[in-house]
Amino acid sequence: MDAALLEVRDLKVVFDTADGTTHAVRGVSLSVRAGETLAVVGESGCGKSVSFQSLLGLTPTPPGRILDGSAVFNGQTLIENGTLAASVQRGRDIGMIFQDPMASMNPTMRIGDQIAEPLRIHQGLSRRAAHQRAIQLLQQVRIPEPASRVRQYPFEFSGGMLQRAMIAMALGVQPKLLIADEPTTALDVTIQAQILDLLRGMKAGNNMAMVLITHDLGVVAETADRVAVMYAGEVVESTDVESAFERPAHPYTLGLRQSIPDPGAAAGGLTTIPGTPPDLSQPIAGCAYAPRCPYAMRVCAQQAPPPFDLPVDEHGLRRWSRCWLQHPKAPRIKALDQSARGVGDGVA
Amino acid sequence: MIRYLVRRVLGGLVTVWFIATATFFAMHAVPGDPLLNDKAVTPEIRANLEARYGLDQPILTQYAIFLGHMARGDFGISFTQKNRSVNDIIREHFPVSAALGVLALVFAASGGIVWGALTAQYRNRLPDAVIMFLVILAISVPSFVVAALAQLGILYVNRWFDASVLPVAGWGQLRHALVPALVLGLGTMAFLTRLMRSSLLDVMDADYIKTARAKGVGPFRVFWRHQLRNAVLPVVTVLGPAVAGITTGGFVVELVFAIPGLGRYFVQAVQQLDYTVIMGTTVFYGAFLVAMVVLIDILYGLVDPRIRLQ
Repeated sequence: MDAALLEVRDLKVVFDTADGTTHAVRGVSLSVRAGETLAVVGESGCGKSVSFQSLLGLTPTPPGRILDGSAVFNGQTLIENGTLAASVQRGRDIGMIFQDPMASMNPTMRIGDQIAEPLRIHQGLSRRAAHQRAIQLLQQVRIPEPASRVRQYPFEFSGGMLQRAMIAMALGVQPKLLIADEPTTALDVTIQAQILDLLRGMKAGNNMAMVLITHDLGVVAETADRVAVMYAGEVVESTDVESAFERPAHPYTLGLRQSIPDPGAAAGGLTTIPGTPPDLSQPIAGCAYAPRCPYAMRVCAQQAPPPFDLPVDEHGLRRWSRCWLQHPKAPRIKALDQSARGVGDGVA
Repeated sequence: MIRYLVRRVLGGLVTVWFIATATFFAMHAVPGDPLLNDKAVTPEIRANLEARYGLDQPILTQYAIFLGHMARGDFGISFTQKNRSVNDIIREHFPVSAALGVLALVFAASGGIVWGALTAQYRNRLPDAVIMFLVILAISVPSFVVAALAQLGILYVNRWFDASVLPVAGWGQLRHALVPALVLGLGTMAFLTRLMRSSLLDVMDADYIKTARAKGVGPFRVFWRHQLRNAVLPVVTVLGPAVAGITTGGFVVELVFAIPGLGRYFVQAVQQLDYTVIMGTTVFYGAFLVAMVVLIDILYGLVDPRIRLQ
């Protein structure tokens, strides 16, 4: 197993509200290797965004608070024992782009100035050099007439163009890791494909790793190397992208896959996962998914499942599933991959 | 842009005309006699005076004459201060009010932004609570009370230093203007503080602030470059009405601090039914306010690029 670029262990983030403490992230462990794309999938509110924003110290504090966990990026400590390291240099080695490009660009600042900002901060470029570089970057993300566009304001750009500008802004300083938080959710389907294309191209060109936060499994299939499936603030399955679709090893992954609309199927409507995710302000006994799981057993409601190691993928990388069905004594389910060899430590 | 300006100026002229007309007829509808002084006036003198001021004409004729003079910028001679033209009164006393008002506005705007920023930064903690309490106090207490208390304060300051650090009243130097301007701007400052606070809190949670922080922009620059510029927009919008409040509200402060501003004439003229001074000062203030609002609109375009092109 080669060294991970980003290694997160047992990250716990809570939000203190008037009604009590909400456990938004309940022990997330995952890793990203240099150059790969990890897709983080799950329903809204399962802690995908919060996990990664916490790594960069972007969670508003209060009400947010890192309770526990550690994170190491490229040999550098981001979080240790639940405390954010003071040395985090946001935007230099880890770039981040957000869901809604219209709301994520400063409306009163020229596009060029916004792209130039990280260049000036992290690379110490002069105003003029940063401006020239901003024009180049706009060209790289295929914005026509970059020399005049660079002087425009966000309201003069379309949504797709703004997302391109955001990508230019994040990638200008050539980070080793890009966290893309639902980068295509707010865009038209046709534009989505272009943006994903662009991200793939930029990633290959810069030899950069990418974390793609999404709830769109179509995006996952097209873009990701590996998948971390999140549910109720924890990673429930970690696997390669092919296995996630062909051999899901957690009933939730299976449920997500079955929820993809199938154009071939005639009537009958959409398949959904019945029920809603649990209230994270209440303590959860056992497996968080058990109330919605069609295969739930008695143990599921009583004891939280540990991560069970599955056979490694074709690149020799670990796969695991946090499900009691992986236990040797569990009944066999036809639709699930139940080839776990034993209990692992829960880091992909 | 030119077309926009022309339209705004034309609209402003209509507004001023409307103000003048409404004031003219309202003023004539008020019971009382502008020529009735303490001294008894014989019928002959009275007829002479009426002829001199044109009061013997029918009211519509008077209105037409007034409009004609107004168009040429002439508001006639004061009824109470013989041989002194209204234009002279405005020319002499408005600069005083304007100087006081500008200083008050500077205090109000800078104070509002600074205090608003502080309360937003310390949201729901002690500094926020203290400042917001003072803000409510400043909004609720009328200016004549604040002015009198401020004079008392000046007294204590002077006694403490055992020297005349600040004058209690009067006009002429900057130190005369400091305390009155602060008192005059206080209500507006409190109002702007509240506005700034809520506006900053809105912007604080905006996605683009998160973007800026994700880029590695430091907290100081996030505040100045990203937060403040966007939060100040609503404040700029209310600056127009704020100018109105400060210039017309100056009367009380001018009276308490014995400042020879225009506000005093504005109010006295109404009490004495000094027709020409009422019309002159009202139309002048009206035109001034309209000009300010247009100016603020243009200023708004400078701060918010989205407004500029439309």
